[in-house]
This record gives sequence, structure tokens and C-alpha cells, in this order.
Amino acid sequence: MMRIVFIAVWVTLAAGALGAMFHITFEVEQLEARLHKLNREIVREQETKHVLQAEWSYFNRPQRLQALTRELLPNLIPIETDQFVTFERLPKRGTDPISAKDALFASPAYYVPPPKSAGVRRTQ
Amino acid sequence: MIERIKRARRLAHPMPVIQRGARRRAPCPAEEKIGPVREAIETGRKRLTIMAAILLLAFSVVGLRLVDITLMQEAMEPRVARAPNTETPQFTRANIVDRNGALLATSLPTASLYADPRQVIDAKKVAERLAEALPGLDSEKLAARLASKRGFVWIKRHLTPRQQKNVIGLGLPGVDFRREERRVYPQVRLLSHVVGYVDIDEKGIAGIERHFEDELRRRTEPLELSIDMRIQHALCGELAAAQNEFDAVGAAGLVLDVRTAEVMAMCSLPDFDPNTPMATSRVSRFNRAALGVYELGSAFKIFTTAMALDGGIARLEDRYDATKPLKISRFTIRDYHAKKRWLSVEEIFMYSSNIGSARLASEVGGKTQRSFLDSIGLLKPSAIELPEVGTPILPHVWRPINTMTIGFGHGIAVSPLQLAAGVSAMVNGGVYRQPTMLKRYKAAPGRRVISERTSNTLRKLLRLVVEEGTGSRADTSGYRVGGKTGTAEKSGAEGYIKRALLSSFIGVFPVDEPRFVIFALLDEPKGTKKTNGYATGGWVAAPIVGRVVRRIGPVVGIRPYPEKLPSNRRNLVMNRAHGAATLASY
Repeated sequence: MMRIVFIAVWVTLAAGALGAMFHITFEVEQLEARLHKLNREIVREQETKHVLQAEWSYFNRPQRLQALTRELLPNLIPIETDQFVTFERLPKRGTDPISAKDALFASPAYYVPPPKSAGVRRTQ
Repeated sequence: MIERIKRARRLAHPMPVIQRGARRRAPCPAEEKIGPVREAIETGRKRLTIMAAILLLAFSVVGLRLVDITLMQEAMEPRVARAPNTETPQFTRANIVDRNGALLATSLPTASLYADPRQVIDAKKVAERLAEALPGLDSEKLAARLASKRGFVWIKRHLTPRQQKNVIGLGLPGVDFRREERRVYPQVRLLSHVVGYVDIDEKGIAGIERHFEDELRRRTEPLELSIDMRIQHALCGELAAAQNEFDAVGAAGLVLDVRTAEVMAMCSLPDFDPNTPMATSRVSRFNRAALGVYELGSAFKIFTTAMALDGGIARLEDRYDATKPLKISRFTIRDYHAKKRWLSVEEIFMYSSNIGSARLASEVGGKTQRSFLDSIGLLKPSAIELPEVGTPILPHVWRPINTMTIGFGHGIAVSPLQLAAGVSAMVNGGVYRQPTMLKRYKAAPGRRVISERTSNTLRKLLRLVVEEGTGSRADTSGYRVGGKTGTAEKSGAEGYIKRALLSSFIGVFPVDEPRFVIFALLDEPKGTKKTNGYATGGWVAAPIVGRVVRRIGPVVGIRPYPEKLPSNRRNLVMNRAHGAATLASY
């Protein structure tokens, strides 16, 4: 009797192990298939990205942007040197904004002190 | 075999007796008598056992292998063939980008159509249908190729997706697609001479593509050039506008970073579309900025003055006789707007006096001049990373007359690139660096060619030219530009041609602490009403540099100076006989 039980237990265990093994194997197989699919997708996306980058660069080339800006944003002009002011010359908080702006741009009052290092070195 | 055993059994036991049990209990008395039969049975048994063992072994090997294959090893088809690798790049050629990462050249996947003529059933019909789907294909020629015995013929390379769809729709046997790459230049004409182009098999033919052919195939990271697209666009745009305005046959321009010798912009006009390089003439594909060598004229006076000052041969206030044209054997050196008096070194530079420069040069001497020009890379082709590099044209024998003419930039032809590199060494504190097309994160060690003091003086002289001399049209409010004009007559078969000029300007910006050397050259400009008919460097090329400075100043973050900064003049020893500033047009 004991022997039969013993054998039955072993057979069941073996069958169970076998079943589990196959189950896991097939699952891994499926996961791997999915991984391949995802990798393929990544590669495809990378390629698409690459193509789109090229397209983006093509549409953003400066000549085209300049032409478009001229046509669509006629008020946008290149920055001029007299549009630069220093922090020191900015009006204090609380001053009348309009008169402050006038004062700021009333040329030739604007003055940007040259940075020390950029000063003219005297050799003579 | 089984039959044999059965027969043996029948022989041994005519009657079906349970022999085995009986034998175990008591040996058969008849054993001795039927010895041979018994032996046969034993042999049979032994063979049977061995046979069974072998079979068992074989089956268990098969079983084990089955387990091994299904469970232990890869359950799938070999990975190598199917697994897409996401790590390695899918393109065989690396991208080329500018210093800020803007894409200049890239490879895109395309489909190319080929055929296996052995599988094509009706060559004529297939050719006709393909010609219908792909315009521009000669069906008769194609039919002949499809009827050949070869195993592979290209039908058309680099199809558009629509064409590919059409061909698939035809469903023809024997034709198929192959994935290929095609080099694409998104910036179109902007960098045609810098980046270069490739042939149909993606082999570099010109420019960076050719110089870095192996490198581009090897690397996965993009190749970073020193070019700044924004500066490039400003330079090319202004050059093109000027070329148009003055009806010049060509133009060239350069922006060089004086601290690192990186080429920030390089432009040559006319240009071409590198996407279809063969559709343009050879002239368009010629890089005037690096391959072309020109007699650049007065810009060389910068070097002459530098030699004289640095060698202690002359001081700024030393005077030279420029009262009358200088006659050396059969040559006569003249000034275009002659002052007809003695000029100081400073005045020689400002008024661009040929006579004075010639005298200075001859005082410096041919040997010193030669070694000096060699030290700033003017006598050998530039070692820049481009295949199109011009070899300077030098006098075969360096006679005193050559020394004199070279003193004001005649009798020597160099490329604009060499000139710009030389000038940047003059103004950056006196250190020469080999110009490069690649982005530098750290300035390469240079070679000192003149003292810092001389470099300082030269910067002031260059500013003076713009403030009071020939380069006034390069002045830009808010930025301090220095520079030197250059105008040379082009040499033809019979000496110099009066009407064909090479007008140039080499600018330094900002002149007090230089960042860039900007060069602009117009080839055969024609004067307009606006320029009073003049087509000299000061009239046509200097304004280009001024406008480029105005455009790139805010872009590169250089702080503008106030309008009224004291002139450089008071920093210089001014010893002029006639104090009034005079404009010289040459």
C-alpha cells in the first residue's frame, strides 16, 4: 500500500514539474516573441524619428524661416544694437513706465560701460 | 530474427510447455541430450537482450534530446536571424551636424528596385509595365537588360514611397526591392561647399563627406563641425545680396574664430544643391573660400606692417618716401590716391600706400618676409579638414622685386582661408593656429608669431582704417569693427586686367577684444550708381562685413558698445603732417 502511495506521489510530482516546465517554457516563448515585436517596433520608430528629424531640419532651414518670417511676421525685425540696455539703466519699480521708457531710449543717453577686460589696452 | 527465435523454440519444445518455470525448479533431465538446441536458444536470448538495450539507449537518447531541445535550450528559432537590435544604428553613415547640433547631412532609408532576369518571364512586357509606373525609364533599354542572362540588374535606385507602391501594385515576378540609403542634405544650398556630397553608393566625393569618408562610416555619433548655421546663413545671405547688387561672377566669405581658429562659416558663390550635385556646373562646385587662390592685394599690408613693427625695423612714426612712384627695373609701383609726400607707417597702412608698403617690405628683407609668411601658413596649402585646398602660388625665385610686390599683396596668391587664418594670428595676441572645420572644446595650442604688443598696435591700425580710412563702410553702429580693404586686378593671359577686380575686405570684430575675423570677397564686381561706379573693396566688400557683424553680433552674444566711445586715434602716436583725415578709396 505504502509503495503505491509512494509511487503515486512521485508520479504526480513528476507530472506537475513537467507541466510547470512546459508552461513556463511556452510563456517565455511568448514573452520573447513580444520582445522581438517590441524591438522591431523600436527600430521602426527610431527610423521614423530619423526621417522626421531630417524633415524637421529641412523645414527649419534658415532660408525658409527667413522667407516665412518676412511674409507672415512683417513686424518682426532683427535686433538692433540700440535695443540693448544694462540693468543699471533699467527704471526703478514704481516710476511711470512711459516716461521711464522715454528716458531709457532717449539717445544718446544710453550708455553701456564696456567690460573691463574688453577695454582698450594702452601700449604706448 | 524473431522468426528464427520462434523456430528455435519450436524445435526445442515441440509441445507448448511452460518451460521457464519448470527449468527453474528442476533442471531438465533431457538437457544434455538436446545441447545444441539449448545453445541456440541461449544465443537468441542474449542477442534479444543486447538488441533491447541498444534500442532502449537509442530511444532514451532521442528522449533526452527532445527534452533538451524543448525545455533546456531555446524554444524558438535562432535569435540571430530575427532579433532586431535596437542598440546599433541602422544607417551606415553618421550624421553631420553643426556646432549647435543642427542637422547638416543625414542618411534616409529608400527602396531600390532590382530584377533577377532569370525569373522574369516576359522581359518586354515587364519592361513596358515598369516604364509606365516609373516615368523616366526607357522601356526598350530595360527590356534588353531584363532579357540578359545575369542574376541581378538594377532597374531604378532610390524610389519614392509612391513609386514603390505603384511597383508593388503591378505584382510582377522577378522584380524586388532592396533597402538602401540615400544621403540627404536638409540645409540644401547653405553648406554645399563645406559638407560636400556623395555618389549614388554613398561614397564621399567632396567636402567633409570625402575628407571624413572612413570616419563617417565608422562612427555612430554625429560628426560635429565648427560651423555655426546662424552665422553661415548671415554670411551667405549678405554675400548673395552683394553679388546680386554688384553683378559679380562669384563671391566668397569666411568667419573664423580667432581664439580657436574654428571656421564658423564658409561660403562660396555660386553654390549648388548637394542633393543633386551633378545637375550643376563645375564652376558652382568650386570652393572659392578654400580651393581658390587669389592675389588678395592690400590685406597683405597687415603682414608687412606686422613684420616691420615686430622685428623692430620700423616704428609707427617712422616716415617713408612716397612722393613719387617707385621704379624697380621694368616695374613701377604706384599709389592709387597718391599723397605725394613722406608717410608714417601708420599713414601707409591707413591710406593703403603701395609705395610705402613696398619700401617697408624691402627694408624687412626677403628672407624675413618669407619665413614670416611661412610661419602664418601662407606658403603651404592649408591643413584644413577639406579635400579642396588650394596651393598658394609663389614666386619661383624670391627676388627683391617680389619682396616689394608681396609687401602689398601682389605676386603671391593665397586662399581666403589662409589669409583669414593669418590675420587672426595678427589680431588675437599674436598666436597662429591651424584653422579647423571641427568643433573644438578647447583651443589647440598655437604658435607665437608676433608679440602681444604688436598685435595690439595692429588692432588699433585696423580700427583706424574703418574709422578714417578705406574701410569706413564696414562701420556698424554699436559694434567696433576693424579691418583692411583689398582690391586687386585679376591677372589674365597678358598681365593684369584693369576692369576685372577682386574686391575684398578682411574685418576684425570686436576690434578691441577680437572674437571673429570676417572675410568677404567679390569676384569681378561692377560699380553701381550708388557706389559712384567704384567696385573696390572699400565700396563693395566692406559693407558686407558691416552687415554681417550687425546680424551676428546679437546672435553670438557680443555686447554692443555705445555710439560715442573715444576714437582709437588718441591712443596712437599721431605724427601726421596734415592732421585732416582723408579718405582714400583704395
